[in-house]
Amino acid sequence: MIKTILELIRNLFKKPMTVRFPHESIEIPEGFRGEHAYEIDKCVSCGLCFRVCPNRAIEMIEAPEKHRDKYPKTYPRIDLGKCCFCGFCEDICPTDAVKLTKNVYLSTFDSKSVIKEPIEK
Amino acid sequence: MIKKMNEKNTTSYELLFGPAHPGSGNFSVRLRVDGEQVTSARADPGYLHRGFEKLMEYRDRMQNSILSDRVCVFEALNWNLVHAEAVDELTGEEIPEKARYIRVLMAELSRIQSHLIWYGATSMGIGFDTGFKIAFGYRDYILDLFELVTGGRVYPAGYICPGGVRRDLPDSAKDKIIHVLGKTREMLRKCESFEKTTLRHRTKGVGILNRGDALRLGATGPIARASGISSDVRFDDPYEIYPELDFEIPTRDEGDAYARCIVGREEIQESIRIVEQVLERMPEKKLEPIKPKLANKIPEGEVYVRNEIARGEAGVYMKSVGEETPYRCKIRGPSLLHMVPVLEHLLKGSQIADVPAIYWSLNICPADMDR
Repeated sequence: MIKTILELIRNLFKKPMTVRFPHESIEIPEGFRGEHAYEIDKCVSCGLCFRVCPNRAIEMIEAPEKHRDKYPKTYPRIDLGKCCFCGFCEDICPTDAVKLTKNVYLSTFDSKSVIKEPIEK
Repeated sequence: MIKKMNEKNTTSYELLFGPAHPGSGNFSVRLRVDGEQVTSARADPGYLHRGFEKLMEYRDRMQNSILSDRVCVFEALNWNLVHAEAVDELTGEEIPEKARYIRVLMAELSRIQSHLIWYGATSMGIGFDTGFKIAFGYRDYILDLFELVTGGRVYPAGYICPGGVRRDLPDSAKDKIIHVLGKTREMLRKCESFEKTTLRHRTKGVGILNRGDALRLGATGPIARASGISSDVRFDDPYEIYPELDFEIPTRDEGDAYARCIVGREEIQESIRIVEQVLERMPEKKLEPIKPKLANKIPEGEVYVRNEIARGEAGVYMKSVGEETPYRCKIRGPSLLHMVPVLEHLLKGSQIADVPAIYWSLNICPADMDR
């Protein structure tokens, strides 16, 4: 019992283990697997990301009509709702067009916003 | 909770513990109760079946290592290791020395955090909320390490993959691991000083599994060791670099829920020793990252690999016919035998109030049982 009381007193003078989110947040380290950043200008449309994706979250689609002159091939559309954030698309991409960022704030009420189009419509 | 009143005897009824009970997880036990006493128990599994064994037949080796994370949420890295070893044995690939050290390092850290969950869940089940908060709070320090090394807090995304590990340890990892080990020791001290108030009284002499029954019912891992059976795959059938390491297998003879808690705590101490030794001997050489490849065929053959994970003995049977994907992959989770025969045996004759203590002291995970 004495040990328990001592432990309680010790805890009174300690800093809390948690941080006051959202005013403060824990730093996210390099190499974290968060939201994808895609650069269409680097993409060579090889489709490797589409073939390696274990959850089939990537689909190769054509660019919208107005961009088709500049981007005539097919480009990856990423469904974050299906994605398991394994980072295989980043690893296999020969031109570093797909990269995983540190962004973890992906909660949304809009189901359409989980789909990342290769180029804005 | 379902209540079926017997017209002749109003004190006997059927009680459903789970799957909606806050302390049961995705699992249920049907208890036949007479007054306060459980007369018989029947486990009712299957609420978390996701069909991994079939899904693995359609994915290649790297994609399967992602799936192996999900076999048990709390022991993702250990399951990564079992799967990776099965594929490595089929391919006969040479694993770099440093990758072997990193594999053991991460598996042991994963073991520590799994034991912390066990300790926390048992505490929560018996109403010892302080233990629950301490264990889950300190577990977060280990999750921070996983985030740094693998890029994800809970799911490492096949960090331990066939051929080694997906990427090298970051430069700052060693200091952070040493810091976290210090924190874990602090947590063990806190648990010891707090648990005499509640945990010991609620678990001592409860759910006694004697040595003969443990052997007969197929208990493995810490459950068997708490009943006096000194068995551990890391000793009996060593893998990776375990033969080079110096550690002990904690055992107890009592076989009750308290002995199982103590074995879990002592195993955390042994894992800390292992991690320290691994960090000391880790080769300095930089490790090349392993990237996924397409059309990477697995040579023909069949293999069964077993590992000691936090909950007991885990195994993967894999058969390949020379294609990219395995022909068959059978996963042997340690929880199945603990959740069905052992749990049914222990619950019979116990009091209703002791059911959560017995249930959680078995360190069970519905995920690895149902797969």
